[in-house]
Amino acid sequence: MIQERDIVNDLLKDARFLVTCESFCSVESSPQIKGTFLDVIREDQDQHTRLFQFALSKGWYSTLWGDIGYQQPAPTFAGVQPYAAPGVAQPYAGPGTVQPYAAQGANVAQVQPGAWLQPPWQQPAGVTPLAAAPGGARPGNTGRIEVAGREYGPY
Amino acid sequence: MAFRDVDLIQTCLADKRTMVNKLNFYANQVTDPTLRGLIQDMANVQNRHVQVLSQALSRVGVQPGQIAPGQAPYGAAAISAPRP
Repeated sequence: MIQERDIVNDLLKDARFLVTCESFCSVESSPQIKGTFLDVIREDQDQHTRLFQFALSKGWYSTLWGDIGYQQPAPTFAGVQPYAAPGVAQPYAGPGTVQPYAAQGANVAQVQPGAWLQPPWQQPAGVTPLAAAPGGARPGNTGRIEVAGREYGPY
Repeated sequence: MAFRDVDLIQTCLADKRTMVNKLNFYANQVTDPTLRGLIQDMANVQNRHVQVLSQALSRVGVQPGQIAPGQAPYGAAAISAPRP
C-alpha cells in the first residue's frame, strides 16, 4: 500500500519536472507556439502550488528552519544552532572531522556529527537543551536570533 | 512551425500522457477525499493540456505520435547511416 505522503511527494517532484521541461520548451520554441507553452506552464505551476499547500497543511512537506512555511522558532540544542542561519556558511560535520565550534574554543556542548541534519524534534543523544538558551523555544520568544552580530528571524 | 517545435510538442505530449496515467493510478490508491479531488483535478488539467498540444500539432498537419516530414526519429540517423 502506497502511503499518501509518498504519493504527494512524488507528484510534487513530477509537477516540478513538468514545469522545468515546459520552461525549456517555451524558450526553445518559435514565437507561434511559445504562448501555448507559457499557458501550460502557468496552469502546471498553479497545480504544483495547490499540491504544495496541501502538503504543508498536512505537515508532510519537510520544512527546515529558513525554509518557506517553517513557522516554528529557530531550534537550539544546548545553545548550538543545528541549522546554519541564512547567509552563514554551514560547517561540514562528516565523520572524522573536528567539531567546528569546539575547535574555536567556544564554550558550547559537543554535538555529534550530522546532528543538525536531524529534524528539530529529534534531540541528539547526550545533548540537553538549555531552557535559557538564546533563541530557545519558550513562551514570548519571537524566534529571532543573533549570529555574528547579525539578526536572523524565522520565516 | 519549425520541425523543432514539433519535436518539442511531441516530447511534452509524451510527458503529459505519462503524467495522466500516473495521476489516474494514484487517484484510485488514495483514500483522502481532498487529495483524491486534487489529483483528479490535476489529471483533468493534464488531459486538457494534451488536447491543446495535440491541436497545435494538428494545425501543421502532424498527428500526435507521427513523425513529421523531414524530422528524423531519435536514433534513426545512426541506424540508417550508410556504413563505410
